[in-house]
Amino acid sequence: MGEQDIKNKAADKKSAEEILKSKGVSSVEQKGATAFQRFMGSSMAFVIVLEIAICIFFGVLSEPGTFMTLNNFMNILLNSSQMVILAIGLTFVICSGHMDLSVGMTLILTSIVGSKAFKAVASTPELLSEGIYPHLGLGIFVGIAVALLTGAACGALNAFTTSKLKLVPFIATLASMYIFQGAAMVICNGAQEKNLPRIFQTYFGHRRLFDIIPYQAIVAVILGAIFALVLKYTRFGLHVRAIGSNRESARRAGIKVELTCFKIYMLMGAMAGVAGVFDVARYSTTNPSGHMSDSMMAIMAAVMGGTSMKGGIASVTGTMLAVLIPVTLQAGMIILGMNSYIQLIVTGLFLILAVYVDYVRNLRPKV
Amino acid sequence: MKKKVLLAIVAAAMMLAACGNSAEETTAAATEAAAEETEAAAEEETEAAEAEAAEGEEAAASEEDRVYIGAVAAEAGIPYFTTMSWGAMDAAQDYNVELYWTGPAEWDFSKQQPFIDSVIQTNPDALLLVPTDSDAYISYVEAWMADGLPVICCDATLKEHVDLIGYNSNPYEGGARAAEVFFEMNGPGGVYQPVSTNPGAYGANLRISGFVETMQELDPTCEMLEVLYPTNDANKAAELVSNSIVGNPDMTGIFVATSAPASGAASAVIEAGKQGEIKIAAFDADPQQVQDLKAGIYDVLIAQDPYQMGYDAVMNLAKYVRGEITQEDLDATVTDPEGTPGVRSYNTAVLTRDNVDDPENEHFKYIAELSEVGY
Repeated sequence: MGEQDIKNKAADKKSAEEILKSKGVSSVEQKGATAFQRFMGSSMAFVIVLEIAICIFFGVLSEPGTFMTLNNFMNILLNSSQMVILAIGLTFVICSGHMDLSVGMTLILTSIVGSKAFKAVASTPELLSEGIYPHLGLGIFVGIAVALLTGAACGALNAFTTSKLKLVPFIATLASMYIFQGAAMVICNGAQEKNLPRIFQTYFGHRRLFDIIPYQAIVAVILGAIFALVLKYTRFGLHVRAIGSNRESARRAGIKVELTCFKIYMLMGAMAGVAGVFDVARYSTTNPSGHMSDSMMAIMAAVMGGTSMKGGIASVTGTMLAVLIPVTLQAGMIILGMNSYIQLIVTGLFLILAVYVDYVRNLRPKV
Repeated sequence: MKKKVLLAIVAAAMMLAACGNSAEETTAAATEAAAEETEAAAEEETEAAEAEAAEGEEAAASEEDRVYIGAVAAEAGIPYFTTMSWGAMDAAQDYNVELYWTGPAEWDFSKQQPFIDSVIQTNPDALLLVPTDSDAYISYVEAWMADGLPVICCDATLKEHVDLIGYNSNPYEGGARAAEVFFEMNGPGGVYQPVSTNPGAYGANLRISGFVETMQELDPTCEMLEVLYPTNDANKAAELVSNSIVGNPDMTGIFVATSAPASGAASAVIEAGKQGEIKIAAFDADPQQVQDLKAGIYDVLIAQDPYQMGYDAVMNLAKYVRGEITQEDLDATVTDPEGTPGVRSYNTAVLTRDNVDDPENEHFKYIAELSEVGY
């Protein structure tokens, strides 16, 4: 690496920081406030307050030993894990000013392709029907790798249509949603994957650390922590935010916008692959007719958690916490015995309220 | 910060209002139900149910403690499961059971999971489960049973017999019976359009296989068109079926695996002006379907028996929890112990215009609202 390169990179970093600053989203701008004030002003604090309020609300109304139990909270974590993974990916996508409506279908496609790969490697057709898997470990490794790669390939297609063909991300990913769904159906012939080993569930899907914390939730939190750091402290994270703030300025500042878009969408796809692996691990089968509303829920979580739909601003931790809100709400409503259709209405109204309150809150002048 | 707290309180108040209403409704319903308990509740039921009810009243009198049973349907609100909940509620009255019936708004196992988790959080003595997938819940049910939570699966059964017993209607046989009726009506050389829901819908696709394979066996000269998958969407079904009618003007019959797409198929046939010419056989007997059968829109309905499944499941769970019956007693009721272990299959009824009002078919007609039957 020459001296010139280093200089360029320094310039590029500076410019990107300036871009963020010009949009009023740089952390530098809030330097005057204390860390606590900054935290309390964030969407994350709002989400935490909301979550606690929901828990207290249901805790008071429900019978003792039902909602307010450790096990219930662990169920909520487990039921949120897949959505957390998807929403982390979407936080990057939305932060860069893009959109991805195809994540649910990417998840289905990755789970199906991954399962097929697993079966092909781990066993033979004759042994499969008897539930014998001579190359189980290798099969699992290949299955996961194939799921992630399939996801990344789906992401690459989205990146190609949005950044090379310059299609509007909303339309481009709506189109790819159909493509992925169709591809998934062609591969699985519409049927759920059968003859997958039960140990997916017993060793990972249902397993809990010390019989308390679900493994899936642990993995989701670890991934969340990693990507929160990536977004905040790495060059890639900075580029993502810069592109979302102002694509043209980012380009002028020397950021390889198209390449970064490929990375973002491929990351999203790979995360959908992880969620696909989680899905198969949890149910020991695939769910080709489900996940229709996953994209919307993930977008909602990202926005509630403090990611701006206009791009440039994002919070991975906020997103992760926001995912818990609809899941907690639903668990509470079921425990209270509320009609399932009313549950949908309440969830919808609550999400409107939450996002609106956050919006109004953000209009206030900063400390 | 004050504003935040205020907003949280407003949000909580809104939800409290929503829950308050539903709690009041529940209380009102419970009071009403309790009042009716003293009346002869099972008058409108079949003879078998009446006998069981009489027996149940005794049980209710002798038992101090109520049994609390959680029930998670695969899809809330559709007539089929409403009818099943009617049977379950009748049994709950007869056997001194507190029943909590719930389920997701759509048939999807990832959506059903939170319902199951939350119902289990309410610490039921037993669980009635309509599994949305025959594989996905096996290890869950296995674990619950091991933890002392007895589970009966209704409507759809699990691939492995890890529950107390599974109740279903034989989907393949139902499809096969539709094929037989069509063959009787149309004779050989028919052109048939099978309509399923989702490619992954296990039960619906077994019905389709029953229909397709039986028809091809009965009439090797028939033309069987590609299966259509409109999901559970009547509009989409109308669109797909009308396209198929345009492409196959000599179509003689449509077999639809569930009720929602059936109404779409029916409207497509009417729009094409082919009513009477194209016969429609549909699974299930929703109130609208029964009316449409009488009006000549459908020709055959394959009705299942969700009432009896719901009734038997709650009755047997209550008895099992009280130690009045054992696993062996339930095993003795299994229809085909050598074929599918742990499953009791209920008969479907073939409803046509000629027999739909026969008394023996009365409980095969589904209800749309529990209020129709006094709940």
